[in-house]
Amino acid sequence: MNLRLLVALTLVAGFAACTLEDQLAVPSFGDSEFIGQTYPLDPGMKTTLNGVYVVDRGQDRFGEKVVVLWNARDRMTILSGRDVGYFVLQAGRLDSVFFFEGYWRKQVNEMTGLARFFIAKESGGRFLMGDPSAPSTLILEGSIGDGDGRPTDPVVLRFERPIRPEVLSQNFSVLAHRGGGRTSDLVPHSENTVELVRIAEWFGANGVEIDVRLTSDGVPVLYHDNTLNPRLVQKIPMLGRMEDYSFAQLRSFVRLINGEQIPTLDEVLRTIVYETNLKFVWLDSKTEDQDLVTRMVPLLQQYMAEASALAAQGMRDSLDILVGVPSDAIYEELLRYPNYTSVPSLAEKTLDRAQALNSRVWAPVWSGGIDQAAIATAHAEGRRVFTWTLDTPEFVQQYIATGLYDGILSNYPSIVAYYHYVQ
Amino acid sequence: MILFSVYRTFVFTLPQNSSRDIPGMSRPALILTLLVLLIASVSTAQLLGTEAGTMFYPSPLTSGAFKTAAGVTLMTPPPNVVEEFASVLRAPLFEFQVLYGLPYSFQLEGRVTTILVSNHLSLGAKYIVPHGPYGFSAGVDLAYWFGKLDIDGFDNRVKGWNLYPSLAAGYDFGTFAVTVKGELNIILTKSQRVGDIVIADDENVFNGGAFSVYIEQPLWKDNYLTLGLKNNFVKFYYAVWPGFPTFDRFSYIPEFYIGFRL
Repeated sequence: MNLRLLVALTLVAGFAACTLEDQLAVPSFGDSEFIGQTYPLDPGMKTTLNGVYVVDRGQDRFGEKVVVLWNARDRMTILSGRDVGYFVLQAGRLDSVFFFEGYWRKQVNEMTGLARFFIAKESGGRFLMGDPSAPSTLILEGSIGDGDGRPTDPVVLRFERPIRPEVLSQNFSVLAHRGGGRTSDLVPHSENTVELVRIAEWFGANGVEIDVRLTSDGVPVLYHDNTLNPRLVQKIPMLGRMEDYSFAQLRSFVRLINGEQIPTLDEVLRTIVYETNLKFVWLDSKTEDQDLVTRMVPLLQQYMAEASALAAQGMRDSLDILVGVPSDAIYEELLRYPNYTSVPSLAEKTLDRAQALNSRVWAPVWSGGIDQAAIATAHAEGRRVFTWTLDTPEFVQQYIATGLYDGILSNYPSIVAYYHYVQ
Repeated sequence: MILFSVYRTFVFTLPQNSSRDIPGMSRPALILTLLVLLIASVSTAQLLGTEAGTMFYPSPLTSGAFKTAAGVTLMTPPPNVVEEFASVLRAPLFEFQVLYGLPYSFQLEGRVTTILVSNHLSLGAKYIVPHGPYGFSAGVDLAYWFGKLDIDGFDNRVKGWNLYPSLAAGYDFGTFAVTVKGELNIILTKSQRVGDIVIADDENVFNGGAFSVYIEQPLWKDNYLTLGLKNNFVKFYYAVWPGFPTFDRFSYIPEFYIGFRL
């Protein structure tokens, strides 16, 4: 009998141990990080590095071509067209040798690891330093590892051409869903947080969509789902609609799945304006019939004005913050707002709504198909046209190739950025 | 009835989502504990017999004879996939199962599983090898699954074909039988549409597999009660297709089955 019990308990223990990860740590070099001992790159060097590169080694993991993009202020991103893959790298130089350190990730699965590259003096180092006699070649040589393991698998990227000027000059929005990606995609921070918005540009995004709800005492905060639930928050003694709780209650008792606090809209917009160069914010209005629009509009006007002031000083690009109009209730609420046609808005569903609200953007859902006539009408009226939420690489490529859209919202902004910049 | 009362007590009184990492994880572990402890505590007097009313325990079935069972599967949809559709998909799946005896120890097995928005029809053949109280089987099932759901005015449809090769082994304890089954899950085709737009078309994808444990016990005469726990480790789980999963990684999805021989 004792033996049977032992076998039974062993079986149960083995079974219970069969868990699958739902969090993924960003790999770190820890004490062996090298970049801290190097000098930062000048803006001109970063611009020179931008471009389309041929993958000489590592094609099996990253495809035939990648795009190198200095999109964020402090990180260089390498975008791959395979499995929503990307690199996020810090950079520095010693004399004429350039070093890059960071991690790679495949966002559709759990594959990630450390990455380390360098550009040797004669493989582009002198060229980046502005030596006119140096050949205009750039070769990123390096290696990648798995997890926190030492990078040993070689990857070589060879500069093919710069990103086309006509692509760079387009006002195309690469919009990251929920502030940078879904929690379920194992991004480094929980969705709709200050922490995630701060790094959204690492994934190739130049704009974000965030979900706004009102607390019971009228504070606009970021949260996607209708309820407080285990998908998004850690164990708490609170259940039900988040709109039933005050901001103080949420701040005191609720932590998001990766430990962050539920942020206010004010905190997130301040972060976007002062800590990023994001150019577009789509406020997805989630709470209906509680004056959400009335609470959001003064905030967006304030932060757009602050961003404009910074842009005038050359400290950031201009910023559009738009009230999303996803539902009949929000549409009706915005129609009641004084001088509503001057409120920056983004209307989903039909073009009629965008016209009635004088929305800056019309955003039909992608699965509704491509209505070329309506898009042409919207453009003729001076409206931009976005589509959402497009995650399948084949469709991202197809929709970008039409040249009809001014922006795409995706859970995988890196794949949108890849297909946009590789054109 | 012992099994039923134990199951009822623990399935319906444990708190929901008691584990954040794997929702429902602690519940299947507890249920499995109880099942195994029951196995360990019951004596093995005589066998149920080769023509018993079991549906999962691999026992021979006379050529031309058939057995049927109906049941309910309680499934915990992975919250990361279904998000706000969790409430829609938390309803039980209704199951109907038929076994039909063929010559030379072969059997046909048919199964219908439905949650209305997701439906799964399978037909398979298996070869039975009885050996005293032991029973073994090897088989393969071919399944067609489909679903339809109107979301925000858009007509969403999905359909596909799956293949499930499987091996099972059972032991007849006399008063009940325990069967373990392992199966692979291969997506032959998968097509997802919104209106006329094809949003996903996949072929020949290794989708993971499942490990199941079933315990079957006669209630009266040839009427049997079956309790089962199926542990799916799959990339795509047909019943949660309205979540439009974009992941290429495995999720753990437990299914709890309770069925009655008809």
